[in-house]
Amino acid sequence: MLTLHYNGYDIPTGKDFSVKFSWKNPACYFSDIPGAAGLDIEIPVNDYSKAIFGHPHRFAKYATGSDRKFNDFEVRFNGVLLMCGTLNITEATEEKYSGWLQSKIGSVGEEQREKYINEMKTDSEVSPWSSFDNQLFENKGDFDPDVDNYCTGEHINKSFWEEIGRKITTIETYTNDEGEEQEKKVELSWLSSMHKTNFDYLVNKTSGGIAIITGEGCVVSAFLFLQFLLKEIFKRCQLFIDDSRNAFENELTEFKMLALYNNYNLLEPNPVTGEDEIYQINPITGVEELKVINVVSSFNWELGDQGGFDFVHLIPHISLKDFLLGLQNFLNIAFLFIDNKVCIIDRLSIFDGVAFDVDKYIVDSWIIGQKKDITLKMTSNYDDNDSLISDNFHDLSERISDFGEDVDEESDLADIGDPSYGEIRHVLTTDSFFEYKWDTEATYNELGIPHEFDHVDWVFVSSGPQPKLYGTGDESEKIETDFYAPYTLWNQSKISKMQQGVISTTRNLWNNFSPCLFFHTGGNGISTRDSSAKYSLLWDGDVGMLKNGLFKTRWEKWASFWCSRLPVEAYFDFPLNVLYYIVNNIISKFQTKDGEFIIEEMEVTISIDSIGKTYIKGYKL
Amino acid sequence: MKITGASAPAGSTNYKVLCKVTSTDGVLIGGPFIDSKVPGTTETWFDVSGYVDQPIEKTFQWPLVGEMTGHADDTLNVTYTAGETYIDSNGDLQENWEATGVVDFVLKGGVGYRKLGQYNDDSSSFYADYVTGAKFLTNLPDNQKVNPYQPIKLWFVAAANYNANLVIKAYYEDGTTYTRTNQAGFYIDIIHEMDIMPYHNDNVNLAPVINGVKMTRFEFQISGKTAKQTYYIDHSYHEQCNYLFFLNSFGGVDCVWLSGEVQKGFKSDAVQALKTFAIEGSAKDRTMIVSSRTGQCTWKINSGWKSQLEIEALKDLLLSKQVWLLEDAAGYNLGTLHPVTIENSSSDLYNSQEDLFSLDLEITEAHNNQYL
Repeated sequence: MLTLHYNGYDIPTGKDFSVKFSWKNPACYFSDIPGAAGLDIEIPVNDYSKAIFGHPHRFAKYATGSDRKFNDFEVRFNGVLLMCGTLNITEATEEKYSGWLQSKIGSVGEEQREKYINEMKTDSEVSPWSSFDNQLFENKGDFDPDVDNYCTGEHINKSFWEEIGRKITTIETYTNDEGEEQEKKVELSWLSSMHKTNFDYLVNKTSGGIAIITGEGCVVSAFLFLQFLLKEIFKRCQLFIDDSRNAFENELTEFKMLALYNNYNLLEPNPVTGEDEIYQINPITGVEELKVINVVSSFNWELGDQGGFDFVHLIPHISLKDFLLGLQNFLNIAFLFIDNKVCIIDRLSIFDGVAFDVDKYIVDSWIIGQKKDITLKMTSNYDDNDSLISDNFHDLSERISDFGEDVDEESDLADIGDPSYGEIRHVLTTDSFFEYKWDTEATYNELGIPHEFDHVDWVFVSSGPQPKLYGTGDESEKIETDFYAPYTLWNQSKISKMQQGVISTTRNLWNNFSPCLFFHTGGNGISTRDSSAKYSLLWDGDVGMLKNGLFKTRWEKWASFWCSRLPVEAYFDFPLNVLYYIVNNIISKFQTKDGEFIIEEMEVTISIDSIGKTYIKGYKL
Repeated sequence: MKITGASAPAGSTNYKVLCKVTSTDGVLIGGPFIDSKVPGTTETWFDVSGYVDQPIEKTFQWPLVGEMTGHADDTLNVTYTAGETYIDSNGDLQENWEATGVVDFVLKGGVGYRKLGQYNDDSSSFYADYVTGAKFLTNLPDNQKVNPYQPIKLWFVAAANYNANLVIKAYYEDGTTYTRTNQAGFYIDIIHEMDIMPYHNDNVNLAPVINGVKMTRFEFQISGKTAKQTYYIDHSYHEQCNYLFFLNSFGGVDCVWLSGEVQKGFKSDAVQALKTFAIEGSAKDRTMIVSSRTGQCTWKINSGWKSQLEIEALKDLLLSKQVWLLEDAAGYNLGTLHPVTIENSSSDLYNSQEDLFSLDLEITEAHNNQYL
């Protein structure tokens, strides 16, 4: 019997009561996180229902403009919980209340999806993430995601102190085209010069295996482990990761070491000031006047208040929806929400799992749709504030037809015989793209006067990584993510960023960095590839190890299926226990005697005493 | 499933009681099933029937072979585990489970609301009534009138593992009796099917007629466990002899003798398509072709005269989802078995002005065939 329950009360329904249920497989969605719904719910008006929903007349009076919502509503059939969530009563007449049931994830999504993750809080927190305020920095030689919430990692950031503090002019040497050493004047902040002099532009520069936490220009950053951040974000939605179905604990253990970049300096350069007298022209009177000012003579470099720092500064300013979708679309995982639990599913594991046999429940036969032929475009949205990428990156995906074969070194370009104008080649060692084109250049004489000339050559047009394109179809589908991997210069082993930093005394209204992932590789190391080099977070993989690229390892198999997927649909006559299993494992693969398939969505109408035929729309594997 | 003793820890929120249903023999598909509920004041009830109400494709002995058959897959071996879930004062989800209970054996079937209410009022249960009470799993009454070659079946679930004697005692019209005793092993986790037709079990000493002396009745019991079940033999001639096997409410298969008149029919459906007549077409050509044609047998069979108790018990037949017609089965192990569907939507069961009653059954073959 189909029954409704609200806060422990059974709600009497009519003889013709029925609910149309709809479930969707999150693995088949790349632009939203679908929830389940129970549609076409009609509850007769009687003394019992009026006590819960209110008199229809009053309901109509008070409900103008918005639905009335009743949380913790349950629909059960013969005791089996089919769906719980929020009952939205959309209309009430003298005879009945009409509405629909929004699953828990749907309700949570509606409340939370547009919230920024750094602005979420638990019921017990006074301000966002306040339970992680004033955390003592543990400067360790190694970090373990099962024990630690964050890690440190040595990397290069020449721009950390850019535009912060006073500027100085310094002399920089460079090598000109003739190979001669030259000097030039460069204006930069004093802190930048100190960062260079004392720390070689390194963030978290280590000494004796741990980060140096003092010195002029010192930058110390702590990077939250992804698994910690995910756990805490879900907790703020009253959702909890199901450890038994967590791909990071099973198929993708390397991903436990993922951490998120931030540009926040845990060190606070507290200025030491002294009074000084200077003459300044009064802008109103035009008269020169003597003025006393506080001049910063030096800085005390120390870790926050009593060595503490707030986690909230380490979290990117991004909406929950974009964060979760971005993560799904970057790592090729899917979040499956069941009641208040979140399963982290490796999409590729769907192919490898054992198919659940539903052959004996199929009614009639499959209806075969038209096979898809699409081109997938995988795009990472880079941080505009990271000038290492933003200054050099241009999306070349419209020029895909101009791409020739990749070359290893830039010098190999010269060996290409008879290149065509407009031809583009990817230089693997530098992950850069060159176009064979007409260009102008200039030479300078002894007086520094330029002389421009025309030439035809291989000209740098963009840095990598480019959006990944896969498939041959005219129709295209985009898989977009706000996550990206940091750049590693070809001649350096360390991650490089060129992003202005933030310190507590100069911080912005929100954290100005977008989600950037890297692996903690042990000690104080961070890298775009994990310590075993099985995975690289770059779409095309690391230099010389092209098989570990994110596309090759995480996406190619799925893309191959998705680009040429074959839609199928059929009706099934499921008993309740099987329906329950499928709803809770909708992300898995299934099979009939005609082969294996995955479900995209399924619908069934359950009436007061019977389960209707279940409609399944899916794709043949 | 009743869970008691649940209480929310101090500072917790979203406290719920959990009930986990686990299949230990792997027969129940889709488990383990975990349900959660806001606890009641003193106890929390979980209706687990939906989780364990798995359809089964019932099998039974036909033609009859042997006296007793065990069906292991007709009982679901499940355990129930109580637990609790809540969000602690730190905002973390906590889930605790008690020790798993003993294995229960779930039969396919159920008890109607009226009977369930009666059990509750009497502080009894199906288990107490039928398992520890050692009743056969049937709603058909004692003292039925049966055909001498009727493949009567009784089904039984034992409350413990034991050996016991299956006893058939036949009474003949000359006052003689014959008792056949056969020891059998009973097991707690399976359902036992017993084929108790006397002739099937001893075609010499338990024949319906021995030297012109007719068997008048026979009794069957599991010695020392069940009450006796008595059947009266109807030796009168019937032009038609059909039986219905049906899955009853308790997971057994009953056999009902249909001794009344029979109307057999055949209904077919066809889908036609049109085609043009060819200019050079012959007289044999057609412009209407049958693109598909299927058909199924139908029967209207009268149950024959039965007592009020027997007719009442046939409600179980009218509710059954799995029925088989044994057609033209006048002799031992004779007849043709058809899976069928009972189409009756409403039936007059009895009229108090009459002593004997019969039921007209509308039966359709459970196939829609393209070929005979």
